[in-house]
Amino acid sequence: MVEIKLQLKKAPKVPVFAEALSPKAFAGKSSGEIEELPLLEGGRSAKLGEFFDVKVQGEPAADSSQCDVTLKGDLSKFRYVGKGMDGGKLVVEGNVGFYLGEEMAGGSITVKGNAASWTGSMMAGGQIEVFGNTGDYLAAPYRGVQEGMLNGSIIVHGNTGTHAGLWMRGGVISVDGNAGQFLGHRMQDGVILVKGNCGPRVGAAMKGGRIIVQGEVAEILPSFTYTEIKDKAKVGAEKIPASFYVYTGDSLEGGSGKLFVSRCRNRRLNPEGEVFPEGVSVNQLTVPLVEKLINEAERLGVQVTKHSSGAVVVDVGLKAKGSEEAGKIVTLICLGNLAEISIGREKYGEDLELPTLYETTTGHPAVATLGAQFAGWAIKTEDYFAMGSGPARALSLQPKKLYQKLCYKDEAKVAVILLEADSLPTESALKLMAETCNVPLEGLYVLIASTSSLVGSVQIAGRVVETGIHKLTELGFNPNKILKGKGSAPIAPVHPKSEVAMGITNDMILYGGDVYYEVACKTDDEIINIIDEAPSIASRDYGKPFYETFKEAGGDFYKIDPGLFAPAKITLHNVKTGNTFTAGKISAPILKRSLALLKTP
Amino acid sequence: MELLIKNGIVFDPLNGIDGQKMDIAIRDGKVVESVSSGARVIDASNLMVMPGGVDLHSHIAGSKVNAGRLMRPEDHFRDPEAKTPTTRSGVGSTVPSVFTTGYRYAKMGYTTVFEPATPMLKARHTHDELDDIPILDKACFPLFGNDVILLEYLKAGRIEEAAGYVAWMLEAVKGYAIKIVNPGGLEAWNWGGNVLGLDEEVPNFGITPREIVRSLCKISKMLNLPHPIHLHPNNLGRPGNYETTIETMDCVRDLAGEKPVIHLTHVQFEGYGGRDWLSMSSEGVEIANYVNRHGHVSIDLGQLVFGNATTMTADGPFQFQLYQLTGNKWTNSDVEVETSAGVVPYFYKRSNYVNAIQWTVGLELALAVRDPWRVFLTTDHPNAGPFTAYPKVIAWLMSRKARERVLSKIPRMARKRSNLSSLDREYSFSEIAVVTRAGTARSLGLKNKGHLGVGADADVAVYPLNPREVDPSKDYKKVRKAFGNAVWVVKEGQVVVEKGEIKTAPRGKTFWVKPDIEEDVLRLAAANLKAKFREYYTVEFDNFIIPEDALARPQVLKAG
Ligand SMILES: [Zn+2]
Repeated sequence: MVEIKLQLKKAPKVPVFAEALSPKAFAGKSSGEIEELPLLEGGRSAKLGEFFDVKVQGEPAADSSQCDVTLKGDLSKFRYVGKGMDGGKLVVEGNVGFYLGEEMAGGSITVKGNAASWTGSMMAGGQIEVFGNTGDYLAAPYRGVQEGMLNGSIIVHGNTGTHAGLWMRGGVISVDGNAGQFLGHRMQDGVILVKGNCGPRVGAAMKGGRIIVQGEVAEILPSFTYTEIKDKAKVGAEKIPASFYVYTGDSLEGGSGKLFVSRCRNRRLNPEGEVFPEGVSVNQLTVPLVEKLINEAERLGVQVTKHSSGAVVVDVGLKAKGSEEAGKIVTLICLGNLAEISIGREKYGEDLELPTLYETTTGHPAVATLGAQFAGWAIKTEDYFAMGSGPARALSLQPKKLYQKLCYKDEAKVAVILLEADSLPTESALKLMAETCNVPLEGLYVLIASTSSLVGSVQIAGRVVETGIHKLTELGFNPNKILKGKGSAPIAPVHPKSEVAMGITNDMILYGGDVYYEVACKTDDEIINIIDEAPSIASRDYGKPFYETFKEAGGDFYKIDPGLFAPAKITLHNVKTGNTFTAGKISAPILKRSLALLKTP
Repeated sequence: MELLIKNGIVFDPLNGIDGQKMDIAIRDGKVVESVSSGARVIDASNLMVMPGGVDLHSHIAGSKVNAGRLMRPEDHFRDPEAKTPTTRSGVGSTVPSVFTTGYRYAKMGYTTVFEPATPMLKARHTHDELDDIPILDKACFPLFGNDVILLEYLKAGRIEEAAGYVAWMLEAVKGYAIKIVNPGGLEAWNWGGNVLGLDEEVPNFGITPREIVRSLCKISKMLNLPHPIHLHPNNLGRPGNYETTIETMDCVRDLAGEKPVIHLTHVQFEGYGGRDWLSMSSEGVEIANYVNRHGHVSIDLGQLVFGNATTMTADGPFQFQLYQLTGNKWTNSDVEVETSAGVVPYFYKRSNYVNAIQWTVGLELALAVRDPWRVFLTTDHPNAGPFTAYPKVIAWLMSRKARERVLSKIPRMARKRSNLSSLDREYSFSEIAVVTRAGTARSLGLKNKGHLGVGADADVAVYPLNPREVDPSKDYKKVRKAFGNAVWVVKEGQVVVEKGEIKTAPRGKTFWVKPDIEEDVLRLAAANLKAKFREYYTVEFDNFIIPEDALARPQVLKAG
């Protein structure tokens, strides 16, 4: 490796044609010979040595791939730097002018500053990395030429201008910032990834290739056709896990290019007719409920402790006795206060009557259930484990994929969580939760209940609407198309052993849960395709109390069909067509068999 | 100033000199009998000497050339010419910049080049551009075949007045010959249509292309113009068009005289058989057979060369068709009253059987027309290829082997649909001199061009090739190289190319023709036109006329 260092000593007055600034031209040359290389300053022939001090360290190497070139200074007026480069390294510590790396085929160029327009023009291989911004026409061919970038990669950490990837035929362009208009104009193949936003006319006249925009797009041209939602996009070997609307076009050119645009950042496009949660903070909404629990602790049978770290822990069913009202409040908290709940009695079959919880969502059913209530956060430290549910998950985004699906996240400075556990959270667990939710410990409210508690029984019955939405989502239904959720499930009597209690409380939903959803689907097919699979009866593990199934699986949850976790009966009403579809049924006999377990010692 | 080109091996077919070793003496821009001992001597021993090349059809100046130049930056950027102490900077490729055009023609030993399609309204621009093309002598052909005022005369059957109008126009715009492009078709194109045959009526005029061609042929004869009507016929670029081409040549058979009365240009584009692109074939030999039997016709090839080209013609509907076929960029232009025009870039692919058939058509014509004095080498620059490809075409004409090399690489279907592989003829150096200078000069009526007899313009090319040693049939690569870069080129007695480089770049002349016509007929034509002008044109009558002193070096040629 020979190190060649050039320091700009005189700034040119007018643009300089500087094809000589390249490992290709430097290979095998001494510093004296490099200084003699020709440059063209405007129309004047000049020598490289007029503008640069040249230092060569090491034996001159005839092979350009052995050349490690550093150019220092503001090279904004130097054009065609690294033109036709086929190997070696070129680092520009400063800005650089037009046509950087034009037609380069190999090697790497790094620019610490900004690069002007036509960076990587018509490149066929190698890599260009720009830490600043680039001008317009990134990788685009010379004016009028219809063969653009063929291969290689360009990484821009800043923004890029208009017409990036014009006539591109292959390779990868990745832009961390924003891109201007006409991104991927007349693109034929290859991949462009823009992590920021992009201007109008993205993909205009494209015939092939892929453009991925993770930020906002100014518009989708009418000559593009929406195809589907995808939950990832591929860039080379890398997969970008995010929810995308996929469009294909440009139909004016008979093109089959693909446009992936972030679904959550471009909700206004809404080709699926989804209902997006806007302006809702599930944590903030529950603050009055949490205050009620604290202020009326004694009446509600709960115990409040202010932990030394500042976090507030409310025992609603561990050592505390709890109450039916506390159960309702906890259930509402879990739902982000986006529901109404009542408790009554219901007949199941001829001779079984059980206390029953009724719930109706009051808005954003997907966010209330999947976005808050779903027990989807495994809180795990070296001295503590619990499953967490409730609004705090919308801060910690656990699990992330689900929130991509919902296009939802909360940004509140308070976090409210319910732990289903048999011991109080340790300090490490509290810290982990606060940190993951990005709230101060003083803003963390932890409710805790064991399954074998009054509150436990109530709040589990209160998951019937969520269980149904979760199952539908697993089957591929878009939860953002659910406008309203209603449901009921029996409240299980408390059993002191948590395993048994877990079995019985589950059975109340699996065999006694009844849900009804209003959905907005363009066609009934979206419902017909999945409705029969939706209720618990569709599962191979259906038919006996859950405790038995659990025992047969050797206590291993993962051996149980996840499809079992669904309400007994599911009804979907499509408001767009007026049609209603029902599947599954309540099973009083199995409910009875489950309740018989209460006698288990 | 005196110059002696010594001991060259000279090809001067107009003077019956076929490879004799001789000296060419030059004084004051003319070839003379002898020069004094003080003359500068150019040692041309063992080198081939020919008169300067004369090209009668090459689009080098005017508004559509400039449109082609402007719309194709990609055509230029890989072919830059840096300035030197003697030349200006520029760019080359299919539509070179003005100066580069002159330099590159001169380096090939060409000294006279005619621009063949000039709308009268754009003549002022054309002359400005011609003035800026260094070294070469030039001229331009105004477009008459769709001129509304002319068509009105013809519709009214007033051919004498039409002749007066043409004469007035030629003089007013400093033109050289009558150019006709797709007669009647361009007027139809103004309404979005075309005419597809010699006897199809032109919309709103009730006359046919046949009447237009015949009338202009008669007018050309009446005015005693030095060059016959120069015709781009109907149906250019369409499969099956060879029949129209032959009909067009035949429609003026009865007007035959001593010299050809009709010149069909870039006939390659007009020699296709078949009903559509799928069944297309080459009918070059059919056309050649007609030419061989009829002395009233001359043609030039419009030879296709594989690679980049920029198609540009006044044939608006053809250019539109090509645009639809290729989806490439397209310029369309309507020149009020007079004509249309279009420009579409094109890439001729050897692997494309249509392009390959097109390639064979031109060569079939060149090889099957027996009289080299009536078939000329052109590529219809830059339509079927740039003029810089002439040396390649010369090599194909002189060497069957050179042709075989290409034939073996084109699609089988193209070989089968052409007679080229059965044509054994190989041009001699003398025949090359005819089709590139002597014949063209004679066709243009340039008495002092295309030969090296005493009194001729001292335009001479010396090529780095010994024709007594090189067998062009085998060593076609040497031939190609030699014709691509002359060692010495003399223009009007001045050495403009020396050792293959431009030595000096003097300004050439622009020829124009003063038709042979009574002054009062001309005055009447002017009066008639002036009366209509306001109604028909967007410019003032007085501004339309180009005075002779608007040209940098005008050279009038009196017809008759
Ligand atoms: Zn032409």
